[in-house]
Amino acid sequence: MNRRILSEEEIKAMCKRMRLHAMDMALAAGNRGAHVSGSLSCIEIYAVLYGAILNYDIDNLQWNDRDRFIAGKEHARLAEYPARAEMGFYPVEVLNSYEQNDGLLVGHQLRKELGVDYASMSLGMEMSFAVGKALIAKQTEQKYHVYCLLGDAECEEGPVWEAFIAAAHYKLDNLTVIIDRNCMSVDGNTEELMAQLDMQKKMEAFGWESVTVDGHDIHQLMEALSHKPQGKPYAVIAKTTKGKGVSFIENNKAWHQAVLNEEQYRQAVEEIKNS
Amino acid sequence: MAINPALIKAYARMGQKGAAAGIGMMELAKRDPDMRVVVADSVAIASLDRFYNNYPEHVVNAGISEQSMIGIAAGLSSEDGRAVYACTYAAFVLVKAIEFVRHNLAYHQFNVKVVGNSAGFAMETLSISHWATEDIAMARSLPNMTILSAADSLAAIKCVMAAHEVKGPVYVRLSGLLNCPIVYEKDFDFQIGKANTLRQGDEVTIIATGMMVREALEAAELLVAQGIECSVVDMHTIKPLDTDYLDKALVKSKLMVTVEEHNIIGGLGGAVAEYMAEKGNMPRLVRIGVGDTFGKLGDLRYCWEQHGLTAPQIAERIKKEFNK
Repeated sequence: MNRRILSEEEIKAMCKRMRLHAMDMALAAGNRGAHVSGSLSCIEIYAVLYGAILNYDIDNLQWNDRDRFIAGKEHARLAEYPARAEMGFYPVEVLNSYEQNDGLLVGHQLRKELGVDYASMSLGMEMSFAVGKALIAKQTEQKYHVYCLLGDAECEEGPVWEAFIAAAHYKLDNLTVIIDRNCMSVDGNTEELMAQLDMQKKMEAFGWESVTVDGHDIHQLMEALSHKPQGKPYAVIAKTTKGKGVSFIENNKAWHQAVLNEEQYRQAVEEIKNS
Repeated sequence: MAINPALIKAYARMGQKGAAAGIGMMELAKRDPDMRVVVADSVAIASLDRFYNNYPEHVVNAGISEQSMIGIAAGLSSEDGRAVYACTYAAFVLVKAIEFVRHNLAYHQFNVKVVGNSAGFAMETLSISHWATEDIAMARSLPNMTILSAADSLAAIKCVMAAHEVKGPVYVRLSGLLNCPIVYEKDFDFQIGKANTLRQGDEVTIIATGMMVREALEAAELLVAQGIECSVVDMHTIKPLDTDYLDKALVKSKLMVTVEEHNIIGGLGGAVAEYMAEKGNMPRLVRIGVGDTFGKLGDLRYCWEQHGLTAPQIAERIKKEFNK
């Protein structure tokens, strides 16, 4: 089995490179724009998952015992694609094909052709699929663990909660969900638009084990995601900043999907390099 | 399974969904231990009590959450391609959960069979929320979907069993009540995509599906008595449509008629109309079905009457159109 486990320092360095890749891809998307800020909020989450947590064999991507990762939060492809490139799922050069006609890497959907566990493409649909995957693993005594990443505003979609109920009911302790709690959706601050309040308490009330961490703190993420619950599913609420790492993008709703011009690109790259 | 007239009568008493679940799916579970059934608080609703008592470990209840039910079904099937049947009212499973069907079944092509019960007006006075008269149109517009529609209880058994042979998504439309009138009085060959001709006659071809097959047969009797010769065909597969049959029927018929317990837009009538329009130089087509409205609520036959779907109404309409 070929799986490189990164140290916290290596993951930190990977995050920096991932942010730079994200800027390259946003620039390459040109006038179509890219989902920039929601990707920047979950760079650390993706880096920790792919760098240290998910069990996989880079030489055999369909290895039966690999952990399954269901990627919700479709607006985070600029974090997803660089994480996979950094860990060797495909060469980093493939990132250059972002948003090309019939390209492998597109702005919202994960294409089936990537060999992902679920070609997710629509908010609110991943959680029930993850429940089905975790449930059949229990029934057939498979070893894999199912991880699912959701956005906090994505949890405004009702079916997410249908699946949360089912996961607890079926005691799916082989299921971990990470909620990127960046407190922003397209129109602005979630707590003003549609308040999610205390998501950890909500998950606990739904019968899940839950913890809240700083979603940009590698150590906290590593610790929280290394934990395997017993008898119930597990939710990690990762408090983050939408647009993290680029000053003019942070907490600025205009950058949910936006066009990055050359000058902004240069400034962003400089900020990331100097961070 | 050896099928004799006594069994066929017993199936008829069970209704389409009762026979499909209690006979067809029971048989499938015997043959395929990997098979799973997902319900949305619909064990009883989908007549799965006997199935559940025999195979509790095969059944996953998603609770009253049809969208999640489809997602869970897809997840269950995703690892090894096992067949998963998702069963509840047609109105909820298809109409309410359409995006989940679109992505998980049509796009991903997971091996999930959606069994929509009590389609058309079978839910009677529970009314519009529980009726399904748009479901075929919705399923037809999705790529990769096979659509089956049962004419009677024996056909319902055949539909759920044939669906298992397809390695991919299928929508099985079941309709009617308990004591479902018999169309097939003896065992018959059910092949997906191959229409069953039930009656031969050269002047009018009546293409029916679901509960309307029986009404169409009765309408044909009335028409023959008035000197109008009719063919009646059970178009149990709406997608892929049996265009070979249509090609033959179009040559000999003076009038083509479709009959369905569904909106005339997008269903069987829509499918046949689209095919005929592209062929060109064809006999006229009359689509009998729900006329793009909801209509008054009442018992099944009353609902049919509101849309001209009873045998005498169908015969009357065809006679009028034939003599135009």
